[in-house]
Amino acid sequence: MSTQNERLELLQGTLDLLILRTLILGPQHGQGVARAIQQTSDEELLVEHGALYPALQRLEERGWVSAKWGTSTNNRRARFYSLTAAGRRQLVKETNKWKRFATAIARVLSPEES
Amino acid sequence: MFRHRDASDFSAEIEAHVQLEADRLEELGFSPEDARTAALRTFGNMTRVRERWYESGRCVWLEDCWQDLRYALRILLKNPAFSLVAVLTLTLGVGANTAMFSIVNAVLFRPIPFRDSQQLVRVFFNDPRLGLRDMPASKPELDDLLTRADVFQDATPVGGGSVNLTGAKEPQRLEFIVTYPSYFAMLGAPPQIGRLFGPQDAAAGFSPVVVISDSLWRRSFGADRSVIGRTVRLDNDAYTIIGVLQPDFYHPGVTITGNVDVFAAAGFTANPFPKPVRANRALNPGTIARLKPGLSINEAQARLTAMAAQLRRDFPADYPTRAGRTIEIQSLQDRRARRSRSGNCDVQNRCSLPAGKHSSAQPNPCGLGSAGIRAGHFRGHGFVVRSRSGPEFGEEGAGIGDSRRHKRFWVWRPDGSASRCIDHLRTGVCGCAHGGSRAAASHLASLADRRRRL
Repeated sequence: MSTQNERLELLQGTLDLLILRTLILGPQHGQGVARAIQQTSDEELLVEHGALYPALQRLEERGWVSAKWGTSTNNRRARFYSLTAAGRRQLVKETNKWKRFATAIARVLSPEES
Repeated sequence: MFRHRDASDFSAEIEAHVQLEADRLEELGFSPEDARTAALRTFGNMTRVRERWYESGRCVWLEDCWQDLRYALRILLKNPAFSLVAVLTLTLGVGANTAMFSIVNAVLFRPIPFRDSQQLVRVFFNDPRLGLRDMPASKPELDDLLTRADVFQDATPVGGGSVNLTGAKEPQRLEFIVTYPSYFAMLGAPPQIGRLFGPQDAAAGFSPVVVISDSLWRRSFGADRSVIGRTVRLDNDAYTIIGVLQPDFYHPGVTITGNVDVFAAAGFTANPFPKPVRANRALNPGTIARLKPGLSINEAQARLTAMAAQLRRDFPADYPTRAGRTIEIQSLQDRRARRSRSGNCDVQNRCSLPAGKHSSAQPNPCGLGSAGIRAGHFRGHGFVVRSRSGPEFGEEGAGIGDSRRHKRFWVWRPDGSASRCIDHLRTGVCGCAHGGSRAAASHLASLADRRRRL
C-alpha cells in the first residue's frame, strides 16, 4: 500500500472517466465515489474529495449522470448519483479512448515488450 | 434540461460528504474530533470548491455586468445633477459625431451620383510658366477637347452666375449655369418631370429653354406639374421651362452658392458669348467632361499633355512660350476638383472691362477676360473688379484709389462709374468671375445689394 505522499495525482481529464466507471456498479454518493476510486486503485490514485464535486456537477449538466437525495447505509442523508444511458455510452467511448492512449504510451516507453 | 441547483442544496451535499467520511474514520477508531478534522482535510479547500461549483453553472461576466449596471443606476439616481450633466454631455457628443459623420460622408465618401462617375473630370487650362492655373478658355480650345484630343466622350463648358428670376411666386435672385445641351446626357441624369436638353435645343447663343432644380420647383412653383411649358424671366429674357431635375441632382462642378437652380443651354458661339477666336479666352473656367469608356485618367492626361504641346507648336501666336499652356484633368470624384477655387485669381494684367459689350438681353454668362472680373454675378448692380495695378480699367474706368490699402478693389457700375469697395473687401476677397470663394461671392453679392439700395 502506498503512502499518502507517493500516491499518483490524477491526469487531467481522467476524473470524469473514473466517476462514470465507478457509477456503473450502482448509484453512489460523492464520498462513496471517492472511496471507491481510491480502493479499486489500491490507494494508488489520489482523489481530492473537493475536486469531485465540480466534476459531478459537470457530468450532471451534460446528462451523463442523474442525482437525487437518498439515505446512506449508515442512515445519513446523501445525494446519490447514478449513470444515465448517455453516461453509459460516454463511458464506453472514453474507456476505448483511454485504453488506446495507455497502450500507445506503453509502447513508446517499452518498445521491446510489444 | 439541467437546472441549476440551489447553493444551500450544494452546501448540504458537501456537509453530508464530510459527515460520511468522518463516520468512516470513526469506525476505523478515530475520535469524533480527529475523524472530523481528518475528513475536512481530505476534502480540501471547501470555500474554493463552493466557488468552483458556483462559477461552473453561471455566466459570470453577465452577472458582473448586471451588477455594474444596477450600481451605475443607483449612483445616477442618487446624484441627479451629475446624471443630467452626463446625459447632456453624451447627447451632445453623439449629436456632434453624427453631424460630423454626415458631413464627412457627404463630402468625402459618397461618390457623386452619376453613372460611371469615375469617368467624369474637370478640365483645367493652365499657364504654368506664369504661375496661373484654371484660366478661362476660348471656344476653339473647348472644341479641341472634342475634336483633337480623342480622350473625351463629351465635354461642356460651364458658364453661370446669378440672375433675377421673375414669373414664379416672387422674384428672387438665384444661381444658374449654362452648358452645352449635351450636359445632362453626359452626366446621365434623368428628369423628374418634363424633359432635359436634347439636340433640338441646339442654338448658337442661348437656347430659349431652361431646366429647373427640384428645390426651385418646390419652393417657387409649389411642385406644380403644369410648370412644364411655363415661361419665366431670367433678368429680362423669357425662357420656357422644359423639365425639372431629380431631387438628388446637383451640378458636380464648381458653383457659387452650392445650389444651382436654373440650367440653361447654349452653343457658346453667338451673342452674348465672345467671338470664337482661339486667343479670345473669355469663357469661364469650369469645363467638365466625360472620358471615353475604359480610359484611365492617367492615359487621358498623357494624351492631353501631348495635345497641348502640339497646339503650342501649331498656334505659336496664340500660345506664347512664356505662358506654356497645358491642359490638366482631375476626377470630379476628387472633391478638390469640385470646390470653389481660392479667392486669389492672380490677376496679372490690368483690368480691362469692355463695359458696353454685354448684351442686356441675356444674362451674362462669362467672366470678362483674363483680368478675372466677377461680372455676371453683379450685373445690374455693379461689377466688382480686382486689379493689381489700380484703377486703370480701360477707358471707362474712373481713376480712383487714394489709399494703398483700398486700391485693389473697385465697384464698376453699369453707368460706367467705378467706385471703391467698402473696407470689408480690402482683406483680399476676389471678385473673380465664378471663381471667388463662396464666402467671397456671397459677401460681394450682399455688397452689391447694399450699393443698390443706396
